[in-house]
Amino acid sequence: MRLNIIDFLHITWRSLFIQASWNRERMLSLGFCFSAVPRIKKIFQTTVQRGDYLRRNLGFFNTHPYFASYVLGASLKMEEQAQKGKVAPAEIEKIKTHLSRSLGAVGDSLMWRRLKPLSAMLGMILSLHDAFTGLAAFLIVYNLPHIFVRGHGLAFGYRSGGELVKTIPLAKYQFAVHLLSNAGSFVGGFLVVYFLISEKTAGGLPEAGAFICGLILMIIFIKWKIAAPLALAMLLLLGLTAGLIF
Amino acid sequence: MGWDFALFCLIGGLVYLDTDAVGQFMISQPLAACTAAGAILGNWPLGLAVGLILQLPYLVEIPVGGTKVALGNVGAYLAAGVAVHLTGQYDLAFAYALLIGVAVSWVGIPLQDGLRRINLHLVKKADAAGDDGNLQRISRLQYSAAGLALVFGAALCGLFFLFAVVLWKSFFSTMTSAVSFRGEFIPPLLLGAGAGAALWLFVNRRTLRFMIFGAGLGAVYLIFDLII
Repeated sequence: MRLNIIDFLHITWRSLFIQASWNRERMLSLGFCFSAVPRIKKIFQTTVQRGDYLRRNLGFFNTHPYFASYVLGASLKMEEQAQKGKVAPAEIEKIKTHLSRSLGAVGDSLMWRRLKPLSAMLGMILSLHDAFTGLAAFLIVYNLPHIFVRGHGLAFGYRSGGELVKTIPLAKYQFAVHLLSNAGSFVGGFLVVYFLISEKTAGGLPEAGAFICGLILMIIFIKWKIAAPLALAMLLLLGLTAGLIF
Repeated sequence: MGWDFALFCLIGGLVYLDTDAVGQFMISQPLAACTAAGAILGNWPLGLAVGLILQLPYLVEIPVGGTKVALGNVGAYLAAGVAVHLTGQYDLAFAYALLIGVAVSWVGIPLQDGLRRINLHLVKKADAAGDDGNLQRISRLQYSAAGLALVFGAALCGLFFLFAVVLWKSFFSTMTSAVSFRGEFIPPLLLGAGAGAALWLFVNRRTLRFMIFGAGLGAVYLIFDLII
C-alpha cells in the first residue's frame, strides 16, 4: 500500500488549503485532516477507524503551512504502520508535536523572513527595467523553493515515517537561511543605492531627501514596535504636509 | 463601472485567499496584485507604481504563530484600484488612495479575526463529523472555509472601494482645485520606508559587509549606466 502518484498529487493539492480554516484555538488541525483524507480513505476502511483518526488529529496542530507536508507524510506512513501494530498511536502524536515546532521555526525563518523579502526586492529592481520580467522573476524565485518544499516534504516525510525526526534535513534548511540572509543583505544594499540615485536623477535632491527620510523613520518606527500600517500612515501624513507646504 | 468592478472584487477575493488561506503563491503580494488592479481598471503602470511603493513595508510583519498582522496585500490592492479610478498622476487623490489602502490594512485585522472565529465554529462542527468518521463532511467544511475567505476578501475590497470613491467625491474632490499640492514626495518617502524595512530584515553585524558590497555594486552600476 505505497503512496502512488495520484495520492501524492491529491494530497499536495489539498495541502494548498491547509490554512483555510485557520483559527486561534486549533490552528491548522482541520486543514491537516483535510489534506490527509485521500490516504486516510485507503488506510482506514470503517467509519469507526476513521472517526478514531479524526478525533486524534482534530486537536491542536500548528506549523509552517509549507513545511506541514513533512509532518503530513511522516504521520501518514506511521498511521499505516500503526494499522499493522508496529507503532502506537501515541507515538504518532508525539512525533507530530516535536516536528511541528522545529519545522515551524525553520519555515517561518526561511520563507517569511528571508525568501519573501529577497524575491520581492529582486522583483522590484527588475520591474523598474521591465515590469513583467520583474513580476515573473519575483514569482519564480519565490515559488520554485515553495513548491519544492511542499512536494519534497510529503515524499520525504512519507519515506521516512517515524525516522523523520532523525533524517529531516533541518541543517540544510538552516544553511539556506544563512545564505539567504547574506543574499538579502547584498540585494538590500543594492536596492537602497539604486533607488536613492534613481530618485536623485529623476526628481532631484528633495526626492532623494524624502527617500532617506522615509528609510530612517521606518527603521525608527520598527525599533519602537509601531505597526506597519500606523508607520505608513504617519509617513503619508508627513508627505502630505510636505506637499502642501513646499 | 460594471464588469470591471465585479472583476476587481473577485480578484480582491483571490488576493485575500492567496495571502493566507489557500496556496500562498505570492500572487497576492502588492507587486503582482496592484498591477492586476491597475490592469483591470485601465492603468496598469499606475497600479505597478502603487505595488512598488507598498511592497516592502508590510514584510516586517511576520505571520508567526497567532500573531495579528495587517492585511497589507488587500490594502495595497485596494489602494491601487482607488488610485487608478480617481487619478492618473501623483496628486492629492493618489495620496488619498494610499491612505485608504493603509487604513483598510489596519481595519482588516479585527475583521479577519471575526472570520477566524467562524473558522473555529467550522472546526467544532468537524468534531461532530469526526465522531461519525465522516470524511466527506471534513472536506466540505474545509472548502466552505476557503469559500468564506474568498467572499470575505471580495466583500472587503468591493465595499471599501465604493466607500473610498463616494467619500472622495462627496468631500475631498473639491479640495484638488482649492489647494496647491505637490505629490512627488510621497512615492520616494514610502519607497524609503520599504528600503528601511528591507534593511531591518536582513542587515546585522554579520551581514553588514554584504550590504556594503551590494551598495557599492549598485553605485558602480548606476555610474556606468549614466556614463553610457
